[in-house]
Amino acid sequence: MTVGVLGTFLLLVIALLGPWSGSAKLTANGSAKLTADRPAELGPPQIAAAGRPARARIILVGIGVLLLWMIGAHFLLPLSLAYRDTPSAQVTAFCIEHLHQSQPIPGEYILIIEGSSVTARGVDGAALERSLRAAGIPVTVIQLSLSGANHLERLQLLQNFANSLSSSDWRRLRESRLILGHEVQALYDRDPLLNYGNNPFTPTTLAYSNPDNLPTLINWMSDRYDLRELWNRRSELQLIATQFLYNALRISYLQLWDTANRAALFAGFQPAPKRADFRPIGLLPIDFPPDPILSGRQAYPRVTRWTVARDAAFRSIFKGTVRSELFFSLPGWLSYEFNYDNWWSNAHPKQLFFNGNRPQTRTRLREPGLWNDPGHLANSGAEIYTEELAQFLKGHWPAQPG
Amino acid sequence: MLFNSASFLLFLPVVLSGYWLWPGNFGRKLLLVIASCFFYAAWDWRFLGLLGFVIVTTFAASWLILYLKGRGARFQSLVILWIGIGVQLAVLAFFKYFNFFEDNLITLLSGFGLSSAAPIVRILLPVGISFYTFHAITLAVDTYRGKVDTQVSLLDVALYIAFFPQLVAGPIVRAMVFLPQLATKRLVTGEDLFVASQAIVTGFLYKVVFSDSIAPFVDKIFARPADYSGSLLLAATFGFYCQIYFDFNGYSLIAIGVSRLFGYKLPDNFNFPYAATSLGSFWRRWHISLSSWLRDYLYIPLGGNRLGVAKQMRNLIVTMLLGGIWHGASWNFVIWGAAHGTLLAIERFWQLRRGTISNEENRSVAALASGWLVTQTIVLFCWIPFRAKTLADSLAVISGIFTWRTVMGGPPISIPLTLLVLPIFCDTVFVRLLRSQPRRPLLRPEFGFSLLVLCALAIGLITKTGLRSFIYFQF
Repeated sequence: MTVGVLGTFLLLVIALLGPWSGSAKLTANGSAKLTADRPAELGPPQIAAAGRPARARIILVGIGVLLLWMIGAHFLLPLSLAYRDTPSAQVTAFCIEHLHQSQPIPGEYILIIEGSSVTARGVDGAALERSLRAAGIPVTVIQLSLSGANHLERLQLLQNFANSLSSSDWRRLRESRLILGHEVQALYDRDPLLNYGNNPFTPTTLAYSNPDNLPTLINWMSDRYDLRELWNRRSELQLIATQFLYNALRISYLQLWDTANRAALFAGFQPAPKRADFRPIGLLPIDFPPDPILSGRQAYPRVTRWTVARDAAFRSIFKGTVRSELFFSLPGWLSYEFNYDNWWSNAHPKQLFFNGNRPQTRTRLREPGLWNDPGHLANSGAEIYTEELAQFLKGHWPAQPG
Repeated sequence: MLFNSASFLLFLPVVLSGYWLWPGNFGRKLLLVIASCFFYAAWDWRFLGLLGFVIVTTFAASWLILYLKGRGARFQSLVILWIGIGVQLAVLAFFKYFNFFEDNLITLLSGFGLSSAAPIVRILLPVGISFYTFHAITLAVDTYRGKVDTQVSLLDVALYIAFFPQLVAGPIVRAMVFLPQLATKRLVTGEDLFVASQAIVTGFLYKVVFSDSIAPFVDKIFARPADYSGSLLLAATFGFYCQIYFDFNGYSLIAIGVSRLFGYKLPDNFNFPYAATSLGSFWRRWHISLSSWLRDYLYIPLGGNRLGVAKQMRNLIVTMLLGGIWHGASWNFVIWGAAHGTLLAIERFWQLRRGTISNEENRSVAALASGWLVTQTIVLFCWIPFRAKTLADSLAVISGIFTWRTVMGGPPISIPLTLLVLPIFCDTVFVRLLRSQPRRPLLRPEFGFSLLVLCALAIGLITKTGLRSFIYFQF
């Protein structure tokens, strides 16, 4: 009903502006008169020379209106209202509720974990929290991981979380030891645009194609790609441009705002069963032979250079409250992921890194029944991995007396 | 590439900027031809060859006709004209009707207990083929008739046939309307910009707000008509009555507006057809570029109304029948065309008997009202075979309505009454009134344009996500 009434109102406004007749008129005998563009009483048509400056002026006025709209929309029509029922908003709502449910303890750790599907299926944040607390480490684990989430979506996820914090939450964060946990994963780390074109123009993708994120995305892309690579990704660039424009102009905003319900809760840990069609031959290998060293355009230092800017962008969301960072990877059946994790470990000796592909962890996860597919752990595998991660953290974080 | 797609939002400003900045007419036309090929290739680049074939054969036919006429060889030029028309009709028949004939042949053979051993061949329908082959025929015929009396360059023929705003769904532009506009560099004034934007914004409103909002209701009911009650079937039929008007008129307005941005003027395609008080008047207001084309290139060459009443009736039925078949290779379109042709013939016969053809506008209010009611009821029910997927579905809808079928425990569905009634009523009554009187624009072009931009943004705000193709793209 709203659409019908608003649309009809717009129709009348446009019609009131004046006649748009100007197309060629076909007469009864099939001939055409191109001169019958203007009613005679309106006077002769403007001469072309006089029309030229008017055209430029009109375009400038139009661009001005467009810019004013975008500025007004930024302040008056927040995108967070439009995308309240997307998975990222739902995970945020779950995490905020979890933060509020846990009592603040002096000297506590707050571990914020961000990641993709490997983390969403492989790290049980609640079990990790229980295990660390049982060992006397006061910690609250906030698991902001989501299947299929590329780094732009994770940026949005972290922003959603930060924007939902109250002033008392921020005070708690400042008084705690806030640790930001980053997933290390070969495919995502090599490509900030991974999965971007998978679900074009769906609320899920539009929710993180937020114009506010554009400077960050441009920064990442300029660090990651050269001109040739950008040309090869032109279809995704076009998609990015149109989806960001879509949000900047607030297209379909009313519909999204109308239908958006209060965000349902959606945990960052989504346990997965063993998939029936995953039947590997033998057990998970403890080790893989090293891959040929990638060089040139494919060299790891080059393709992951942009992650420095990514980490800085993620940290900046928390306004200087992040005390330190944790990097973690998850095991898998694919050699390139195994070798990437080992390279990462050697390339970043100063970072606190839990390598999920270390022999000790892989030995415990050899059974195919512990796996959802070659890249993701099943629920039973997630339990073991979470135990391993907890053990690693216990070794690095001192327990609190009492 | 759809006018309502995000890629067109990027494509148009790029092409427009290049066009406006290019100093010479030749370069501008070349740019438009390249852009049109890109636009067409966005669907399927393989059909660019077919488009090229149509352009080259049309150019050759037109060139030869003029050359032979110049040498006084009128008969040979007529032969070339028929060859030119034959080639275009063969292209159209092969791509558009091959599957239809094949399916019907198989059905016929199986009726006699025979089966064909030959493998079934499926031909992909190129987008817009019905429109660009008609443009090709128009150029050949107009050249023969002397309405195009100078040699037209290959570039101009290419632009006439492939000009992207009208390439896939018209309006069908006469060669004599379009080609003179190619002779000189088009100047786009501020007034042009305002007029073009007004048409484009209105077109978008029709398409993305009205048509696309009505479509889910109509689609749901026409998908399984046997499951719904008579009242819902009637509402869905009325929904389609509104949807197709907003959809096709919306497309036409966007095409006209976009052309105007490049300085080219295309003919109007709609003139408030749902205000028509007779079927004849309806066809002078609905898809004007096609109905006038059929009149000038089919009805009049068949003899028109010059050969007596009986032949006039026959010509009307044949013209409308072929117009129906032009829309698509399906028995539903045959029925739609035949129904309109027959009813037009009956109306014409009635008018001839009463002598009311010439003074249609001087009829009494009661006569106009009853004429409007009868005409629009006919149009409404004729849309059923046009929309239904199969003949069986058409019959299910018609029988459901006329028996006022009640369905117990059917799928729950509500009628979007405001959406179905308010826009079409305001458009047909108030917008028609506003447009019928020549008047000065309400605001200076700058302010008017600003308001249009705001209206466009408001349309964006209320539009729904998801991309729906234009109905006429299937033809």
